[in-house]
Amino acid sequence: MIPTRPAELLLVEDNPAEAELIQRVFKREKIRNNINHVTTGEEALLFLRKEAEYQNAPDVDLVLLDLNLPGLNGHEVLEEIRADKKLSITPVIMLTNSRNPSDVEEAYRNHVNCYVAKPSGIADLANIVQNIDQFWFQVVVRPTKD
Amino acid sequence: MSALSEFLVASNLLPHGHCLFWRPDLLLLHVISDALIALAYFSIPLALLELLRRRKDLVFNHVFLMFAAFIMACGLTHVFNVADVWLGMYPLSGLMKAFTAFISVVTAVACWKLLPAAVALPSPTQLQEEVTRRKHAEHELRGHNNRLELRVAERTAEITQINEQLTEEIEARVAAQERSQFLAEVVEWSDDAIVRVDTKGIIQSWNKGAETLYGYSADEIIGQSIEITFPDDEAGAETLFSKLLENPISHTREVRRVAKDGTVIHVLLTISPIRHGENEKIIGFAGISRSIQERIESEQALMASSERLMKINAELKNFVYIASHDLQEPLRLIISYLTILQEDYSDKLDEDGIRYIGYTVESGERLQQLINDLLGYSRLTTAKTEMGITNPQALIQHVQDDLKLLIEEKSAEITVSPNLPELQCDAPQLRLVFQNLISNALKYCGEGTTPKIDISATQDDVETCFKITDNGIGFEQRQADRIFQVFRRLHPRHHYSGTGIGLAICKKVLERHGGRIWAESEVGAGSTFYFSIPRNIDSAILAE
Repeated sequence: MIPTRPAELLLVEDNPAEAELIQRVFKREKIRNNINHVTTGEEALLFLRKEAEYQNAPDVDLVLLDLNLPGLNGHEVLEEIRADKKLSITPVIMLTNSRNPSDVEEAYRNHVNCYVAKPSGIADLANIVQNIDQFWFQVVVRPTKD
Repeated sequence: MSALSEFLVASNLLPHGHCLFWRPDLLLLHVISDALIALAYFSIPLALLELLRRRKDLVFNHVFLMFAAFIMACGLTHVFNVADVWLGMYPLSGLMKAFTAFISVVTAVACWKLLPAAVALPSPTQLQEEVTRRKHAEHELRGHNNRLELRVAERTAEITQINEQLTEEIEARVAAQERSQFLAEVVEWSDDAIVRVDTKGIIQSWNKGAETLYGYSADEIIGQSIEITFPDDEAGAETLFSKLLENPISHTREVRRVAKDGTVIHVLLTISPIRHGENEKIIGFAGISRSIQERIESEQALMASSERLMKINAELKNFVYIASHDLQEPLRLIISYLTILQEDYSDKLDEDGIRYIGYTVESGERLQQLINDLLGYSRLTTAKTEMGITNPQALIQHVQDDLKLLIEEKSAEITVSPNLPELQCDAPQLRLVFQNLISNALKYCGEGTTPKIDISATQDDVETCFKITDNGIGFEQRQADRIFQVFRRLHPRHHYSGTGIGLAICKKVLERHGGRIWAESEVGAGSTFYFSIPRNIDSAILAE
């Protein structure tokens, strides 16, 4: 399945170092995805709903959501997405440092598509990024907006 | 005088013998008869006098005396008659006769006068009858007497009994009074608040304890409703007492009450119905209350501290995840960016720079390992120990599989004694013990030596004891305790890698099983590690 356009990813990550690292690893792995970055849950929801300054935002194919966010945290953002009729079908990957079973459980209860703990080394991160691209943009059939 | 003596001694008169012509027969007849009469007459008064002397009770004794005098006089007259036979002293004997006549007349008169009284005197038959009658009466009287005595005895017994009953009753009343006084004193001075109310809740008595507990004096509160002590959010007295009347049983509960100064106090309250009369009608209620403020406060404090401890405990449990997130995240970023510098910017750095970045990455990775080990160790203290029958043979096989690369690399020979006994333990935790001990034995091996590891076990009624012997570099026996401490290492890191947590984890696992671990070693002569696990593990240890 050959994508007609580059996939649009929304990275919700408040730590700029973390966000840039992920973006760099995507770049290093030569993955042709557009990574849109917002730093808070509130911004993420505006982006997804194309509200405020995000009126021209693209349709998002996959959300990479951190848990530990200022304001609305990852769980709350996920809940909002799942509660929103238009957004609820958007695939969401929880990409977080937490391995806390209660976080994992809550995320799946809120119908996260998958829960990924950030690896300790850059090689492992590269591997994960590859896997995400491979799986979500080449293996699975994602919902279409129209 | 001379005329009287002439009259008395008339010598010219003839003796009476002359009239008899001195015939002896006639003389004898008269003289003897008169003498005998005189003697007889003299004896009679003697007998009468003797009778009088002996019978003092005789009724007519003066008559007897007169009779005695009369008979005596008669006797004397007869004596004079004898004398007259020879002497013819007729004047004297005439006077004697006159005297006798006088006494006779007097006695006769007395006799006649006495006659009615004498007639009235009972006859012996009458007396006998009287005696019989009296005896009969006496008998009857005795009978009456006996009956009377019997009745008296009965009555006395009755009275004695009544008396005893009365005494008992009085004693009982006194005792009851004393008891009631004692109870009244107990009630009055009890530290417990003891209050009596009527069926509507109107206070009728209020002891010292109540004054102290509630702050109201008896004078000011008696007559008021007990409702005054109820908190606002509790139903009023009417509701309470109508419920109590419906179900009048004594019961105890913890309630809140309001003191005079408005403070709310927790009390333990016992309410009991007070019954009166034969039909046991409820006339009111007794309420005994005692402050449990201190207990409630200490319970609340205990609960608060228990909640705090639970929170702390939960926080501690959470700590491993928080630590894994908060400590690892920046560290991961440091290492990641340094790696990018190493890989993507090496052409812009000189050799020193590249080497320094290498050291930094290495240290960071080591810090990451330390954090992970520490987390593993602390997870052991918070994780639940789940016991089950475990086959150590299988566990050791799993460990050997995990360490396959290292074992092959070192061409190690691991000998596991067959028939290791099954034991009760938490299998994943025991696996950690074998993992650490076997990997240590592989790691601390002299250069050029082929590691030889021997695993065996013994089991008795009390415990299972494992023994793991290697031919490694060994250590000084005096270090044998220190090696089980967290982060304690005996060798420089560049000789033997490791964070020094492995044996501490082993020790923790065995402590959690109620067992222990120890080691025997000598530098250059290999080491032997022993650990034992009790067969009946105290559940208290597991609950820790």
